[in-house]
Amino acid sequence: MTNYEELFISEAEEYLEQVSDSILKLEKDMNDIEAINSIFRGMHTIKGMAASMGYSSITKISHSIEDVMDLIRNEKLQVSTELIDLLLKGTDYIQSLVHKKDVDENIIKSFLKVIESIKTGSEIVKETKKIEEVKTKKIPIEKVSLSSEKAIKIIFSEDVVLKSARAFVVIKNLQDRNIFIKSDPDFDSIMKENFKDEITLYIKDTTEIEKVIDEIKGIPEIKDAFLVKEEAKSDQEIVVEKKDIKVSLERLDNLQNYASELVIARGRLQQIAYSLQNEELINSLNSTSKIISNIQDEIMKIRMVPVGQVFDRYPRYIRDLSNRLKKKVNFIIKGRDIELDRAILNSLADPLLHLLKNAVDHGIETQQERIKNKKDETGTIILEAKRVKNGVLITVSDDGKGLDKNKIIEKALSLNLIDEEKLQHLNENDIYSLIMNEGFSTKEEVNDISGRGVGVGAVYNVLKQIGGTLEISSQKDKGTVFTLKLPLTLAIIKTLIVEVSGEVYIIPLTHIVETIDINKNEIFTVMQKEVFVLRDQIIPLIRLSKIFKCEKVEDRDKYSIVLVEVEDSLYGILVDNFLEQSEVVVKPLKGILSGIHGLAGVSILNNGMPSFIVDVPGVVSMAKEG
Amino acid sequence: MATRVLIVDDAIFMRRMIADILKKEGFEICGEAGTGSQAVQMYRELQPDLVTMDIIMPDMSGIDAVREIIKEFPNAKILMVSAMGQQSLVVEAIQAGAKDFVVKPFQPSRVLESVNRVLNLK
Repeated sequence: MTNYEELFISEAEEYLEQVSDSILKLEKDMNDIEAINSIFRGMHTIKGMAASMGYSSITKISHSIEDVMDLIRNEKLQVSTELIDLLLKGTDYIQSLVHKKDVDENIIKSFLKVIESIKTGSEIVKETKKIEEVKTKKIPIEKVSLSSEKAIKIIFSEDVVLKSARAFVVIKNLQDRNIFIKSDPDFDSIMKENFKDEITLYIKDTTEIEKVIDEIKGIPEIKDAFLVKEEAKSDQEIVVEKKDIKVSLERLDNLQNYASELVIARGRLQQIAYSLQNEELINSLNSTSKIISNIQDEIMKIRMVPVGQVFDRYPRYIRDLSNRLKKKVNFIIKGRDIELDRAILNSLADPLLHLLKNAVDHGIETQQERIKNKKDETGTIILEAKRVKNGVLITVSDDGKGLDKNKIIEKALSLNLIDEEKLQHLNENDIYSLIMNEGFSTKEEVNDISGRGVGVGAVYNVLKQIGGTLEISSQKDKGTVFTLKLPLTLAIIKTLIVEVSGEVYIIPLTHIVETIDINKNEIFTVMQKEVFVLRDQIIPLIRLSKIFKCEKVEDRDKYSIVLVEVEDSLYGILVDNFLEQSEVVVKPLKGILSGIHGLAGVSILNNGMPSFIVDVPGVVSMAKEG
Repeated sequence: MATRVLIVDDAIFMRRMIADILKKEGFEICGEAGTGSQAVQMYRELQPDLVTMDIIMPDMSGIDAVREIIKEFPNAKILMVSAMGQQSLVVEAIQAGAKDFVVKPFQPSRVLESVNRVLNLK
């Protein structure tokens, strides 16, 4: 039974999310028939699942809501704000029950009574109708019959990367010749990589068709291209079935771990193969290596989920919270389709909630205050996800009163986070960053919304764990923006491997802007700090050998510099040599190692030796402290 | 006369790698640019036979640079150098007129295959 239970919980969750989402939509537009139907269907499904599990309370509640929705559907009942509240309550009860939290039986009883009275008050209680069974989607493929059309089958090689883009190179070629008609699968599916290793392109008949095909064959990563014979076209409707299966996250994690190990093993094998100079071995290893990359890619893709899965939980929460605080808030979600590793997304659920909470509670002013300050009486909070180089940016912004710089300074001084002297060197953003320290909270009184103690500090810690960064910018009476920069995935990162005093360190590419070689005499000392000049800009230098107290430091004539960007400032990390650019598997530091500043993790390199991954923002702040 | 190539990438590291691959095959690296706008500028001056173009760079992106260059020189031969996961950007670049692309990390042979194909296009 426990197997079913797991499945029940995860599926009920999904339906509950869908339902509460629709309830909120219904609140905005009380005639939204789609929302009404969606709530009805969701509850119907939950009812059926709960009944088969023998969960009678859930069954009753979902059944009662389903009935109400049916009345609404048949226009026997009007949607009202009270009813919306009731629906949300019912959803909450089910949510708690699903997670085995106790809900007072009396509460459920009275809830059911209220629903009953609504139903009888509306005269007729109809029997619920059967809803349509969900069928597998059938996608018929268009029949082709025009004789002036030619079909070319394109076969991709096994090692093709960015398949959609590769297909587009072919299509663009045909488009430029003005002969492209359509493709199978259709263009959108091709752009979404919804095809295996072949596609069919339909083109206008041309005398140059042989030439066209030859040219396509010449495109890299295209294994073959040929004209499809007329008879090959099937008159029958071909049916493609789309099927999904559920896989437990644990299995997926295991799979990813094995794939990661495989990557390490591959690296080692490659080194051996190259040192043996055995052509045959190298070649067969190269093709194996591509397969490994593909496996890794696929697993990565499986792990990616749209951020909407977490983002869509918040509107409900913001609505409740702002109502309770009697503030008017317009909550906007953008970029919900952006994908992120499931593990990263899950670990962000609480931190984001926290930032949103803060935005409603501390950021957005009361209606009166806003009117007094000539602002729109409704505050706006935007939660947005964006793809950037090597990662995803999530921003939480509000148009509220902004952070109070003076209060932060006062608090920081009283908590001894900083002294007067250091304060002189801090710029505005540095000051705002002070609130990332644990135990920092400027709101004096304790309340049940924001609590005390855990503040932005907790958010910052979570980000650090997953290799992300947090930046804060704020403007008085204009609002505050929290920017979370996240890696796409946890396990494997692209890095530059460097050598410092005979030791090997790994620097994640995320932070690297560029790499530069300089001579010893290009290093200057300004105010006891080493700097160098790059395109008229003075850039502070950080010697890794100093930070990590390397033993065999030798004076060199030439150095290499890794230019990194941290919080909008550039720094040059001084190393002896660049060794190579490589993808590495990140392992977290454990035990006594976990306390070391400036290190983000450890990885096994291709030669089998473990090396440390540099925590770039950490190293920068260590260097700043001197 | 050797084929002249302009290499555009914000990372010196990548520029060097690509340059090494091409030099070995007898290409002449006539210039290197670290930003999109620099690339456009240098293209005008050098009018190389081929450009390798990174996609994400400070100031002007590689895609915008392709647009600028193609606007002035419709027959420019540009090869995009992309990272994994930049599929939609690559598509955009091809749409803008780039002729082909390679994906980092790459095998030298793979780069040369694309370079030669682009050069052979009319």
